[in-house]
Amino acid sequence: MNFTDAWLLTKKIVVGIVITLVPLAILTGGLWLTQRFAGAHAQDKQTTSTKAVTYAN
Amino acid sequence: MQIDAAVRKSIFKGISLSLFIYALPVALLFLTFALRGQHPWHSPLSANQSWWLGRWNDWGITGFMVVLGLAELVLGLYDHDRWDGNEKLTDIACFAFPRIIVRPFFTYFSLKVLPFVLPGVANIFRWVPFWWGFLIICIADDLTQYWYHRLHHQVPWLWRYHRTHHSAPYMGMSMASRQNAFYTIFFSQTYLTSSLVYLGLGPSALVVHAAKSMITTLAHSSIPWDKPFYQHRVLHPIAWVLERFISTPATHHAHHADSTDDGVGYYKGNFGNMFFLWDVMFGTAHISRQYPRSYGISHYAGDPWYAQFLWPVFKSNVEGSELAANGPMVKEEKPSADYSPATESGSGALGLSSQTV
Repeated sequence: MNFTDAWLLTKKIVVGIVITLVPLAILTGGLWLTQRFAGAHAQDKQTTSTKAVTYAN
Repeated sequence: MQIDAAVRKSIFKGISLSLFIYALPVALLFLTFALRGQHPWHSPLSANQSWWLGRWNDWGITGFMVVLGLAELVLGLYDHDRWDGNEKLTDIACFAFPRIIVRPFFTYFSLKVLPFVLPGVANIFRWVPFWWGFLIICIADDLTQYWYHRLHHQVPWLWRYHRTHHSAPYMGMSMASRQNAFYTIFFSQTYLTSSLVYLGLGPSALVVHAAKSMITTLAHSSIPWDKPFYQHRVLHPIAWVLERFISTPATHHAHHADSTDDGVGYYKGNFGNMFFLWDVMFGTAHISRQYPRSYGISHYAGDPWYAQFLWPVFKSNVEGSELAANGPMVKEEKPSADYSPATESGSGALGLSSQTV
């Protein structure tokens, strides 16, 4: 194994890292946003119901 | 050696489209939650269900491979003339490596490296419903493997890491594992799925792994289980869907053919592993419903098993081989003896370089 082989292997690893990290970033970012906004949506609904109960009383 | 301009354009176009495909299941998940007002922040799988999935993943898949391997041997589907000592050693080394070395390595990666690199986020997405997780991992894992695989065919300097998978002049279930060690250890989709498991999508990953192992092993198998679907007219509609959705022996054997001259073999495409859908979407599909006459690489001259398994650490002693110390990066395809230009339909349809096997 010479320098050229080591360089090729390094380039291969870099390509592998890129095609791993790009989908990972898209998916984790999307799931995080879903949790954040769906969580906020659920909280809004809960707040509205609490208010409705308060007004009813 | 440069990548063909048309191939480069096709790769960039496909990768751009893939970014949207990766985001699609999460976008659908978000829309469903938003429209239905759902907030399922819990795992729908019980501990008992998870236990059974784990057992199926460990012992079920192992049993399935043993039965399929024995069936191929008993039915005489291995070509004894071409499955010589060197090929057997290559197959055995490549089959054992993922099971003895790679699995413990990825277990260590998941249990030790990921918590170190990404502290405090273990199981943060455990709330993702099981079948949504299944969809996310199916797309994430298999689309990533499609690109990993395709790039090893179309980027000339990556080809030699994947060459071992194509050198066998026969097909069989063990072909699914026949890979150079560096190709296997740097599988992008395994690192991606391991990370998603760490983030909480473990149960879904177990089912995807089981389904994928079965589909890819059966696609490489010398048992043509898809043949009845092409033979009986009543089954043609099912065949039409099946061959476009998942990898079948007909489409994947075409990818392992040693030539594209006959209109059946198509090593310049059919890159899909579990799903063939990616090939259909990205224009790399070739469906003929036939099986190639011969497999492997036209100029293959039996490189020693250790060079095939551990190139570039060990080099081949076959002069002029792509794996030899001073060998070419990509060797020209040897024209087949019965080549006729009239039968060239399908080959080079994408303008892919004939040098990037």
